[in-house]
Order: sequence, then C-alpha cells, then structure tokens
Amino acid sequence: MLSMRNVTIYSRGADPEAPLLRIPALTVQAGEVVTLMGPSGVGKSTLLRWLLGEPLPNFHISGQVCLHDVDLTCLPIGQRQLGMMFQQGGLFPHLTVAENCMFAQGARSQQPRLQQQQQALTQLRALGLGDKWHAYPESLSGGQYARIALLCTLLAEPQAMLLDEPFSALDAALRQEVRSWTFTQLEEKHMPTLLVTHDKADARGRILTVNGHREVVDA
Amino acid sequence: MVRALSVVFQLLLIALPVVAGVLYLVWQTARLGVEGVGQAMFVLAAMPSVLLNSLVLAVAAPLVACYLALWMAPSLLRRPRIQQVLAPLLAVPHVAFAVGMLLLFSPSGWLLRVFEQLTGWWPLPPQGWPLPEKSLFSLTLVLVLKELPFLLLMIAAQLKQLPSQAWLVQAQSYGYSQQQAWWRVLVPELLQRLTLPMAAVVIYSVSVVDIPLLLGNNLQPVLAQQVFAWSFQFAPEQQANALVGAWLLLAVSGLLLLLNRRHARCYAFCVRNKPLRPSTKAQKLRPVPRFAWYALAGLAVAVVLVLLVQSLATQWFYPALWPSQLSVSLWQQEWPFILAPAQASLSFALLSALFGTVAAVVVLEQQCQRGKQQRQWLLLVALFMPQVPLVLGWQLLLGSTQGPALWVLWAHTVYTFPYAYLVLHGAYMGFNRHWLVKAQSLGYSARQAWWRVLLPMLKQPLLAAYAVAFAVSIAQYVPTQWLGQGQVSSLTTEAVSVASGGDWRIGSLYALLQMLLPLLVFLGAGGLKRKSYAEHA
Repeated sequence: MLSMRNVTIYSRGADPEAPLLRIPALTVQAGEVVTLMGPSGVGKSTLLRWLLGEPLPNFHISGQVCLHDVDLTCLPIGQRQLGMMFQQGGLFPHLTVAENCMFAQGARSQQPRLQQQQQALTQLRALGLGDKWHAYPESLSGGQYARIALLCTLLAEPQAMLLDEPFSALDAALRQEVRSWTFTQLEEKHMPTLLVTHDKADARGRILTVNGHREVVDA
Repeated sequence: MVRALSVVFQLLLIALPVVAGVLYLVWQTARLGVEGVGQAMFVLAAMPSVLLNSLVLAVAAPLVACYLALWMAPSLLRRPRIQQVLAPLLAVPHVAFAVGMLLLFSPSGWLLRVFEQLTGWWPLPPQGWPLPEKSLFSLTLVLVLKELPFLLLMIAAQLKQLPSQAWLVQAQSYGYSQQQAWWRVLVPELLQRLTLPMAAVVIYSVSVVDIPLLLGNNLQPVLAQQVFAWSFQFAPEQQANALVGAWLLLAVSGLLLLLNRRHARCYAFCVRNKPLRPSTKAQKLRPVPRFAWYALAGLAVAVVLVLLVQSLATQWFYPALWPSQLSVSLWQQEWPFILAPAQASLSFALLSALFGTVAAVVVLEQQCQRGKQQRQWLLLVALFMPQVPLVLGWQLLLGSTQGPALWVLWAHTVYTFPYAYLVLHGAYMGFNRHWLVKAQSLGYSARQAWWRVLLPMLKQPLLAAYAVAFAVSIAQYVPTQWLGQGQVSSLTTEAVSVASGGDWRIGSLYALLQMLLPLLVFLGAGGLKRKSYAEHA
C-alpha cells in the first residue's frame, strides 16, 4: 500500500501562493492501479520523481509518503523499494540483457548469485525471449525492450511501481499489446501501481485528474 | 566529499600554480629595483629582432593554421569519418614531429632525395633552399602543421553542434554558391566558437621553447627561447634579463589574447563588406581539400618512417634514397642510456595523466551536482598563460628544494588536468543523470550507482582523456627541464638536447621512442571495446 499526504509542489522562484500541484491525500492499495491524468507541464512527472526520491533542485516539495506504513520521506532512493518505469531507457545500454538482470537483482536480492541467474533466465524464457540473454539492449525491438525492461524492474523486488508514461515511446500497434501485458504482470504480483499519463487510452483502474485549483481529485 | 576534493584539486592545480608563479615573479622583479629593471630593459630594447620574431611566429602560425583548417574542414561535413586521421596525428609529440619534419624537408632531406632521383636536378644538396635547417620559416611551418590537427578536431566538434547542413542549404537557396555559403555563413560562426582553442594555440606559439631550440635560428632566437637561455646563466644580470623578458612575454601574450578576441568580429566585418562575385556557374566546394587530408595523413606516416630509417641507418649519404646499410647497432649502443629517461617519461606520464584525469572527473562531477557551469576559462587558465614566465616563477620559488621529481610530476599534472577536462567536458556534461536515478531505484546507493553505471558508460571518453593527458605529459619540456634541476631527464629533454646539438641519428632514436609511448596508449585506448555509449545518454 502506497500512500501520500499533503503533498505540495512549488516551482522554485515561482509565486509561493500558487503551487504547481497539490495532493491532499492519496492511497494506492495492493493490487490496485491508480492513474493520474493531466496535460503536460502540470507536475505529474515531478511528483513521480519526488516519490522515487530524486533530488529536484528546481522545485520545492513538501509532504509525506509512506509504503506499508513505513515513512519514506527521508530515505534515499535506494532504500525506498519503489520500482520506476520511465518513458525511455529502462535498460542500461552498456550491459547485456543478462548483465542488466543480474545488476537489477544485485543490490537487494538475498539469494545466491547462481540462483538469481536461474530465476532471471527462467522469467526471460517465460517471455519467450530466452535467446536474448546475451544480447545488448540496442539489438532488441521496441516490444522486446519494453518487456525486458519491466522484467528487470520487477527483479529488483520493488514494493510498489511508478509508471511515467511508459508506453509513449512505442508505436500504436505495439502499444496496445505491451500495455495489457504490463498490467497483467503487475496485477498478478498485487503491486500497488501509480501511473502518470496524458493519454486517455493508457489509463487504467481508478482515474484522477487535476482541477482548476491544481488539486488532484477523482475524475 | 566531491566538493572538498574538487576544491583541493582546484587549489592545487589552478590557484597555486598561477598565483604562486605570478606573485613570485612580482616579488623577484621588485627586488631588482628600478635600476636593475631599467638595465634589463635596455638589453632587451637592443635586440628588437627577438621580440619581432616572437610576434611574427605567434601571429603567423596560428592564423595560417586556422585558415588552412577552415579550408580543409568542409570535408568533415561530407565525410565525418575522415576525422579519424586526426587522433594519431595529435598523439605525435611536437619534438618528434619537428625532428621528423627536418629529416623530410631539409636540403638533404628525404623529400629532396626523392625529387632528385626523379629529376636529377640536384646532384648536391641545393643552396638557398627555402627550408634551411634552422630558420623562422621552418619553425613557423612546423608549428602550423602541428596545430592544424588540433584546430580541425575543434572545428569537427563545433560542426556537430551547429545545424551546418541546414545553414548551407538555406544560404544556397538564397542564391549563394556552396563556397560562398561556407565562407560567409558558417565560418563567421565557427571563428566565434574557436576563440578559446585559438587562444590556446596563440599562447602555445608565443611561449614554445623546445621547437625553436630544434628548428629556430640560434643567432636570432624568439623571446621565449631567449628567456629560457638567460635563466640558465647564473650571473645576476642575466637573471634580471630573464625576469624582465618573462614580463614582456606576459605582456605580449595579453596583447595577442585581446587581438584574438577581436578576430571573429574582424572576419565577419570583412566578409560583410567584401563585394560578392555573382556565382556564374554552380561553384561546388572544390575537391582540393580532400587531397590536403591525404597529404596530412601521408605526412604523419612519412615522419614515423623517416625517424625509424634514420635511427637504423649507419651511413646515408646524399642523394641515396635508402641508407647503404641498416643495423640495430645504434639501438644497442644507446639502449642503456635510453632506459632511464624512458622510465622517467613513462612514470611521469602514467601518473600525471591519472591525476589529471581524476581531477577533471572530480571537478566535472562537482559542476554537475551544483547544476551550474563555472567560468570555464578559469579552469583552463594554465593554457592561457605562457609557460615560460609561469614555470620560471615556480622554479624561482622552489629554488633547490628537495625532491625535484615530485615537483616535475606536479607541474605535469597542472598541464594534463586542463586537457583532460577539455576532452571529457562534452561527454560528462551530456551524460544523462537519469541512468543514475534508475540504478538507485534498483536499490544501489548514489555512490555505487556512480561507480557501476556512470564510470562504465563513460569509459570511452575517459580513456580518450587519459590518452590525451598522457601525450601532453610526454611532450612537456620546460617544466621537466627547469623543475628537474638537471636531475630529471625525460625522453623529451634528451631528444631536444641531442637533436639541437645536431646529432640527428640519436635524436631520431629518442624522438621515435617519445612518439611510440603515447601512440601505444592511443592504440590501447582505441582498442578497448570500440563502442561508445555516450550517445545513449
């Protein structure tokens, strides 16, 4: 369960009375997908990056975020156990698929290395991409890339997922397919998921929008 | 941690050398008193040719190199891969290059021998050849050819940042020929962006000592060479001359830097006011520049070859194309003497390139974290100060302190740092920090992410920076000679002292080795996994 309270985002140097975005309270239950819709420039991505724990020198952000009742607000990125899917660049270009998987597991997994490797390979085979084990990301097609990127993110054992327009880099035909596959994966794992998008077609589950007072409300 | 290290490096490699060098010069000059300074000025005023030679060299060499580079640069647009010719050329230290050039172009040089074999015009080495062994002309020529690849590389980098092709096409749609579009639209902008590299080239030309020692006229030296010579004569008058000469050098440099800043605007003004010849026929950019590229590459190969052959030749009389006998006896005979300077060169270069690259990385990382750019010229200030007065200040300050090798290492690092910074800057600043966030979201700490993601992804530019820094250290002459107090000899100092004494055979042996070390590092850096991930960033 991912929850946040009294989150307010200000642009640094802008009017302190006029916040960019405000979220009085928001809870994402286990297994639930919540979509935050809104035009670009409204601070959606900034919210996700703040949740993830990225330092954002151009914004002033206050509020509290909890994961399973643990306060994350002061933890560094590495200890928050949040997985993030970005628009682009889910796989490190200098590592092969195998190395990407092992790198994703390396920090948190308690299993011995050999078992980690087996786990990753099994899951890759389940996607039908077992032959890509030694491939570099640049040789993957768009659909393959998106699937393996999600696999890697999940291998890092996150407790909740943040998705920042994850399908916008895919072309229309592929998009539909990858989208439904992704949500199936996340629902199977009962992962609390917060999705940010400006495209209605991508939206899933409970949908929130930004009202005239820059406040996040149910659509 | 990064912040503290960055401050330490900037103090040690920028503030300390520049401030200490200049302050000590001021203090020493003040000690001379008005009378001492006046006498030295009188001496200098009596030899105007020294100053004149320096001015001619420092104005002519950079300008010729600059316009030659601009003339050759259109090839870079059509065939970007041609740029690969430049890296090995940059790796050739200028002393080795100068020795090789001399063996090629002198009246009894290889090229004349080839010409004589073909035509039979000169059974004896020609008299009055425009490239006598030691003259201002050959000095200028060598500097031009040595600076050309550097400027071409800088132009290549700028051409990638500009919408060059779009500008050329647009100008041609207005009715300009391709030639005119290049010289009237792109070149003014390029010149503006070349101000800093040109400043480095100008300063190098005004303060270079080792090439004039090899190729310059000993009876009519350039100013830097004269100051260098005075500083080795220990009579107080000569020391005073050296000090005042150093100030004059600083003043000349300041003046040239001011002129350099006006250069681009001056060019733009001339081009605007130059009447336009209507382009009757579709003037294409002429193919001539491509031959210039081949010539440049051929020259590099010829320099290596001639050094190798010369070092293996036992007897090689004019006009024979090939030595009558090749033997490794010279190598065997010189080997015991070469080993020590080669080791010294290698260890200085390995260490100072490492320190310089690390310092550059730390300073860049701190700039990234702070999110705003520092004034770049301040970081590169060592490149915009003539080396002779600066190092003279250090030498006077250090006197005969213990451990000259340590100070030589420090002095080399002062110069490897700015070059490593220049090479790394684009890739490091362009690195997408998003990859670091991504790694941290997988559970790694910020420091782990930096070591495991940023460093491997920037491996290629880091190796390139190291290779360039290595070559810079190998080529250092003045700091090694002055701060080494005669106890430190490197391949470069040996090559200069042997070759300026006129022994071309041993000189070419040293020059060859001096060239071989950086070349190996360049090849090693290029051979390690060719792929560059900088573009993914």
